[in-house]
Amino acid sequence: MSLIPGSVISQLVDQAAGSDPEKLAEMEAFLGLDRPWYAQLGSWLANVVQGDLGNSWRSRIPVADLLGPRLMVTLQLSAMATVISSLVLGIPGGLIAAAYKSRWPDSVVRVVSLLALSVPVFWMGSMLILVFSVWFNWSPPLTWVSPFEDFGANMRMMILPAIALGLAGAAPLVRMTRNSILEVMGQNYIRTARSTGATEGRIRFRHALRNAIIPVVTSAGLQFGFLIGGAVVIEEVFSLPGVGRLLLQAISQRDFPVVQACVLTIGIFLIFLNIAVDILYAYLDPRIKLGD
Amino acid sequence: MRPRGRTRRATLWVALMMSFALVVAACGDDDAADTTAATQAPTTTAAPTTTAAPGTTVAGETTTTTTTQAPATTAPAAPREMVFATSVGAPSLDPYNEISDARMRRSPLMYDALVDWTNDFGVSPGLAESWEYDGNILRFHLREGVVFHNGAPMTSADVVYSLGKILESPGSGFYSQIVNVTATDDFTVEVEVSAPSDALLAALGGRYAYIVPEGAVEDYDLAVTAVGTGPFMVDEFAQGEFLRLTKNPSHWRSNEVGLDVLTIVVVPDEASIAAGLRTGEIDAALFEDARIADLVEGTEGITVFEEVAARWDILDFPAFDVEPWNNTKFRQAIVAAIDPSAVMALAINGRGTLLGGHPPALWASLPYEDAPYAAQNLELAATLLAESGVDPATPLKLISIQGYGALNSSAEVIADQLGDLGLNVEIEVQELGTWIDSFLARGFDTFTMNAWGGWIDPDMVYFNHLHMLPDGKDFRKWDNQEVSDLLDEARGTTDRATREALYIQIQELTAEEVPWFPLYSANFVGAYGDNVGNWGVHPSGYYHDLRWVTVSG
Amino acid sequence: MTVGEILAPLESGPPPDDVVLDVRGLRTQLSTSRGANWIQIIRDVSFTLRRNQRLAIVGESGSGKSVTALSIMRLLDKSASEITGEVWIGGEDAQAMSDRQMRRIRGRRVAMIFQDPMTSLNPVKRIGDQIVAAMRLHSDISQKDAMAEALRLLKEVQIPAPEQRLRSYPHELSGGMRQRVMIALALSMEPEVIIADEPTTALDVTVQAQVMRLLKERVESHGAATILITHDLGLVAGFAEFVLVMYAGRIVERGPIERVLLDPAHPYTAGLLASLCTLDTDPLEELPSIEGAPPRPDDVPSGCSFHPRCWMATDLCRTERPPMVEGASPDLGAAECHFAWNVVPPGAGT
Repeated sequence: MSLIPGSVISQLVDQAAGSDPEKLAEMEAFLGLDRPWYAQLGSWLANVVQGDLGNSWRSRIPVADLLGPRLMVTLQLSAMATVISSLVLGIPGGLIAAAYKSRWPDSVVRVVSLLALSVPVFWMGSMLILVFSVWFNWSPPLTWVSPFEDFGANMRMMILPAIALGLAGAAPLVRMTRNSILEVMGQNYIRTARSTGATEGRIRFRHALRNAIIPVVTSAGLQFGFLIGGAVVIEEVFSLPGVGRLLLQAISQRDFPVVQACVLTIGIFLIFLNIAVDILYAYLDPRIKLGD
Repeated sequence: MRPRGRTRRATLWVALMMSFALVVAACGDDDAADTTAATQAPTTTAAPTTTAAPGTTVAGETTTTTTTQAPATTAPAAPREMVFATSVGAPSLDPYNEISDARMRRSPLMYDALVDWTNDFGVSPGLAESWEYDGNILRFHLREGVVFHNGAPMTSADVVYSLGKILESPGSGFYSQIVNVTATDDFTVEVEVSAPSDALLAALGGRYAYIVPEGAVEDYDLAVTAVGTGPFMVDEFAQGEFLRLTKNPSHWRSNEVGLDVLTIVVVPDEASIAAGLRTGEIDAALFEDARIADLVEGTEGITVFEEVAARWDILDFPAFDVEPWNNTKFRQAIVAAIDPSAVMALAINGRGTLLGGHPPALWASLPYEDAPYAAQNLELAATLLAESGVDPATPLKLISIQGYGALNSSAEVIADQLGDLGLNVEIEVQELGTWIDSFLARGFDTFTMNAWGGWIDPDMVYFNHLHMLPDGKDFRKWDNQEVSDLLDEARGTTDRATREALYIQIQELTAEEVPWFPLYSANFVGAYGDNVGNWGVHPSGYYHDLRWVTVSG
Repeated sequence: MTVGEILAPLESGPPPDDVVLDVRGLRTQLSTSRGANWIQIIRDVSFTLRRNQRLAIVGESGSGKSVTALSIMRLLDKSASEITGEVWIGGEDAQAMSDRQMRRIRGRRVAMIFQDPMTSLNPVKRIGDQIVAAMRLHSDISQKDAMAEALRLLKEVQIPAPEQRLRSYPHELSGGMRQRVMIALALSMEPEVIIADEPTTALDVTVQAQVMRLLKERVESHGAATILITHDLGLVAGFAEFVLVMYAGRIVERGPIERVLLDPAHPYTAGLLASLCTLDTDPLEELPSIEGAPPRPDDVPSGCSFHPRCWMATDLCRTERPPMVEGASPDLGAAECHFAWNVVPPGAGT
C-alpha cells in the first residue's frame, strides 16, 4: 500500500487554505507515518491481535465501527449472488443444457451464459436499474435495512444487485454443471440405476446430480471469492453500504487502517470459505475424509 | 422412441420457469407496494428516531423527537420529508478536521456560523446580529436566545472556543488574519486582526467557521454527530450511506425551515439517482456528472435545472522557471489555439459558462468577451508561436488528474486542438495524491489541468496563488511585482467597489500574461420532483438552500 | 418339456406362461457418431428362457453378448441405437412398450448384474440406501421394512458385518463384496430374470468361484431364471444348464451344457473348448487356440462369418451362409454350420 503514490497527508490538508510544511510534519507524526514501515506494521498487528483495528485516518471514526455494519451487507450480497449463480441459474441451467444436449435449449443456455459472462457487471447493474425504473417505475430503496429488521425491504434492495452479480457468476457454473452431468450420466452406476427401473428424473437428481455437483461446489466456493470482487463494483452501482465500497473509498483516500482492516477481513473470510468448501466437499463425497 | 422423458423434462422446465416467475412476482409485488409507499416511506424511516436517540445522538434530542412525532399521534399530518441524493459522501461530519467539500456542503444544515453567505458571496447576519470593524478589531454582537442542539444556550464563550478550534483546523489558512479572540461580555466577541479584511468576514461564513458549544470537541464525537445551533439535528449518520436530519424546532429561523426530516443519501452511481428520481424514491438531487441530467430531462414530473457555480476548470502553467514555459508568447499561442466552447461541449455537455477570469458566480469576474485570448484564434496562435521562437516539434506533456472525468476529456480536446497548431502534446494522467504533492512542492515542469473551487472571496483565489514569496505561495514561479502590488492594495481596503476594480485588473493581467487559462465553469446541474419547492443552489454548491426547501403531498 | 422346446424360438404371439423371456429375431444397430455410421451388432438373435432356467451366453469379446443384454433391457442410448425384433417379457413385447412400462419391467422382472462392481455402484450413496431405493421403486414397502430386508439380503449374500455394511459407501468394500452387493441389489427387486453380464471378470480367480457359487445358490433359492453372459466356458460349466454360443452377432450354437461341452456341433465352440485348460491338459503342451481375431462388426465376412478363422472352411463357407442345423434329437440343440455335428477339433486336421 505504501507503494501507491500520494499520501494521506496531502488529502488531510486543505490545499485551498494553503498548507505549510510544519503542518504536514506535525500531521505525519500524529499518524505515525514518520516511522519506518515495519514499525508501523508491527504496531498495527499488535493492536489487531488485541482486537483494535484502529481509527480511520481520514474521518477518525473507529475502523471497527465503519467495517462492522458493512460486513453483513457484503456477506449477504455475496451469499445471495452465490445462491443465484449456483442454485437458481448455474446448476439448473447446466441440468437443462445437459438434458437437451446439442439441441436448442442447450444452445440457448450456452449462448445466454456466454453473453452474461461477456457483459461487465457494472453495466448489467446499471441496465437492471434503468429497465426497472423505466419499465416498471420501480427502483430499489436507497438505504440499507438489515434482513432481521425488515426482510421485505432488505430483499427489495438486495435482489437486483444479487441478480446482477449472480448472472455474472453463473456462466462458468452452467458450463461446469453441464459437462459434469454429461460425464456422470455416462458412468456405470447410472446404467445400474437405470437397470433398476428408476425414472430419468430420479436418476438425474438422485444419482447424477450429487456426483456431478462435487466439482461444481468447489468452483462455486471459489466463485464466492470472485463474487466478493464483483461485489465491490456492484455495491457502487446499487449504492449498497458494503465492504467493497468502503475499501474502494479508503484506497482512494489512502486511509490505510481502513484498507488494512478490509483486506484482513476479506482474507479471513476467504480462509473460512475454503474450510467450509472442504467440509462440504467431504460431506458430498464420502470418499474424502476430513483428517486424512 | 423419441418422446422418452418429455414429461420429465417438461417438469424441469416448469420448475425453472416457476423460480423465475417467483423472482418476477416478488419484484412485481414490490413495484405495487412501492409506488404507493413512495411517499409513505418517510414514516418507516422516521420511526427509528426514538430508538436512535439514546445511543448516538446528542442529549436533548429526545425532547425534539417527541415534538416531531407529536403530529403523527394526534393528527394524521405526515412529517414533511425530503430525500436528497448525491454521489459524494462525507467521510465524516467533523467541522474542524474533515476537509472534504462534501462535509462542507452538509455543515450549514447542522451548524450556524457568525455570518451567513448571500448568493453573491456577500454576508448577512448569522449567529452575529451585527458586526463592525473598529481599527484592527472586528467586533461581533451575538444573537441572544440561541440554543445548541444539546440544550445549552449560546454565549460568547462558545464562540471564543470555536474560533480557537477553527484556527487549529486544516483550513486555518483562511483565517490567518486573526491575531486574537476575546469575549468582552456574554454576547460580544472581539476579533483582533492583522488588517481589516472582507475576505476574512466571508471566510467566517462557512467551511470550518462553525460554532459549537464550549468543550464539544472533547465531549462529543463530532465525526458522526453534530452539536450546533443549525436548523437540523443529526438523527443518524451512516458514513458513505446517508445522513438523516430532523428539524431543530428551537432554531431562530425555524418558522422558515420547510422540512421535518431531510435525508441525504449517497448514491455513488448517478444513473441510479436518475432511476430513483423517476420512481419517486428520490425527491431532489445534484449531479456531479452533468450528462446524467439527460437521463431524466423531459420526464414528466421532474424538473432539471442549472445554476451558476463558483468553480471552474483551468489549464495551468505552473512552470515559469523552465523552457519553453517561461516564454509568454508561447503560452499565449497555446491558449489562443484552444476553443473553450468546444472543450466545454465535450467535457460537460455544454452545461457551463465560458470565462474571462473567475466565474461570474463569484463577484468581480472578468467577462469572457473582455479576455484577449479567450476565444479561439488559430491565425493569431500561429503568429504568436512563430514569434515565440519555440520549435513546434518539441514534445509537450500535458498532465491531467485521475478520477476527474471532465479534466481528462478537456485534456483530450486541448491536445487535439494544439495538434492543429502543429504541436505534439502527450497526456499523462496522474493520481490525485501524486499530483497534489507535486503542486504543493512547486515541482511541475510542464502544463497541467487543474480544477478550482471552494473560494468565497477573490482574495482567496489570487493572493496565495500569485503573490510573490514569502507572503504568497506563487506556485507558478511567476515572481511578478505588478500583480503582488495589486493584491496588496486589494487587501488594504474593505470597500467592495475598490476591490472589485482591482480584481478585474488582476484578471486582465492574468489573461494577458497567462499564468493559467480558465476553460469553463461547470454549472451545478440538478433535478427535483414536482413536490419540491423553493429550492435553489448556492454558488458554492453548499446545501445552504436546503434549509428553506418545502415539500408538498 | 423337452430341451428342444426350451431352445427353439416360438413362432408368434405371447409365449406360454412358464416362458419368462422370449427373444425373437433381435437385431441391434449402433451408431458410432450420433445418428450416423450405423453398425449392425446383433444379427438375428432368438432364444427362449423359462422359469428357473440358467442359461449362459458365451462368446469372445465383441461377439455381441453384452449388447444383447442391454438391448433386452433397452438400456442402450436411444439416439445411438436401433433395435428390431421382439422381446417378450411376462407376456408382453418389451420392444413395443412405452418408456414408463419399460421402467416397470426393469429391475422388477429383469434385473442386471454388471461386469465392473467397482464403478457400478453409486459412490456417494450408502449401500443400504441404494438397495432400499431400488426396492421401493417397485413395491410399497416402508423404508424401515426395506432396510430390514436389505440387511437380510446382505446376510444372504454372505457379507460380513452386514449391519455396518448397510451404512458403508461402496469405496469401503472390496471388489468381491461389492459384487455381492450387486447380487443383493438384483435380488432385492425379486425379478423373474437376472442377467449377469460377466459378473466375475473383474474379480480375483478365488473370489470368482465364491461369487459364482453364491449367485447360483441365490438364484435357485429365489426362483429366478438367469442369463450368465461370459467369455469363460469354464464358468459356464459349473453354473448353466443351457448354453448359447455367439459369434459376430449371431447365435452359432445352442444346446444343453453337457452336450455342448462334450460334443460341440460348431467348429467355433470346439475351438473355444480346445483352448480351455483342463486337469488332463499336458502343462508342457501349448494350448491350441483359434487363430485370428473376431471380425469387426462393421466388416463381417460373407457366407459363414467364422470362415476366415475356421480350419474346416471351404468355398461354400465363404459364399453361403450356413443354415441352423438341428441335432439328431431336438434335445441336443442346433448349430449354424455347413459341417454341423461333424466337427474336427482344431489342430487335428492340419
